[in-house]
Amino acid sequence: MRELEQQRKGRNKNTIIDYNYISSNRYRKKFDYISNDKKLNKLLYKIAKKMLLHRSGTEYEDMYWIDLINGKIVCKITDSKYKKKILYTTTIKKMIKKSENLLTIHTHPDSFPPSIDDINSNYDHNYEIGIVICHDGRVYMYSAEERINVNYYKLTVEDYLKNGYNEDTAQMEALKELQKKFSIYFKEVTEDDCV
Amino acid sequence: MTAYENDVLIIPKKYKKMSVSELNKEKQKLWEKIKSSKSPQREKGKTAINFYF
Repeated sequence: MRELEQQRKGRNKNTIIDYNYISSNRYRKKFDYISNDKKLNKLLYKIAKKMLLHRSGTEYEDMYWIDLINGKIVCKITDSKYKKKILYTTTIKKMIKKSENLLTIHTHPDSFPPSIDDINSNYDHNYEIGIVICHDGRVYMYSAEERINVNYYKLTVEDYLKNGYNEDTAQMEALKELQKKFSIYFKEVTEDDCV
Repeated sequence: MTAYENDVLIIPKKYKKMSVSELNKEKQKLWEKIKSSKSPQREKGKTAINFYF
């Protein structure tokens, strides 16, 4: 019934979040496996939930930048009008230039792992770490110490697609392969993570 | 420098048309080029926070 109502309002049913799971202790616990800073993990969970509730049923993304020195939100984009992408405003660009040791956290409505633009943006802006919050409840973290050649990434994904992987797993496998050749770090944060 | 983060992956038509062996050849060729012109590495982990990779 609830789904029907949302479809009537023009919502995309593929990007509707599972509210019960997002509110569960199981989901909250995932964030404990991100870092050794409990306060930061708590803040990330709070932002993740807020973004998911805001963007449920849409293909638009929200993004926040957090200063890791003082643990404060430096800037955010929550009114993006572009589907599945974030465009930096002039204010954001200025803010990023001024700040060091930034963490980024943003949503993926289609629940794919970090994109090649996410990885290269992490390197280009010297972000300490990036977090992707998927609408299906998955959480990814990544960090790049070098830039990835975009064509090399696309060739790798296409190779996996031709070998029968779907778009999601092909991107996952491509990132795992690239992790062996380039200085990038990437993982899915799961409830089974041991610290 | 990127001022956007586009999460839509568009694979060029020429890669789509390639067979698996052609893709691998192209990958190998590109990898040889990349090895000789890699971007400078950036040091991470400057904060006291430990991230669990």
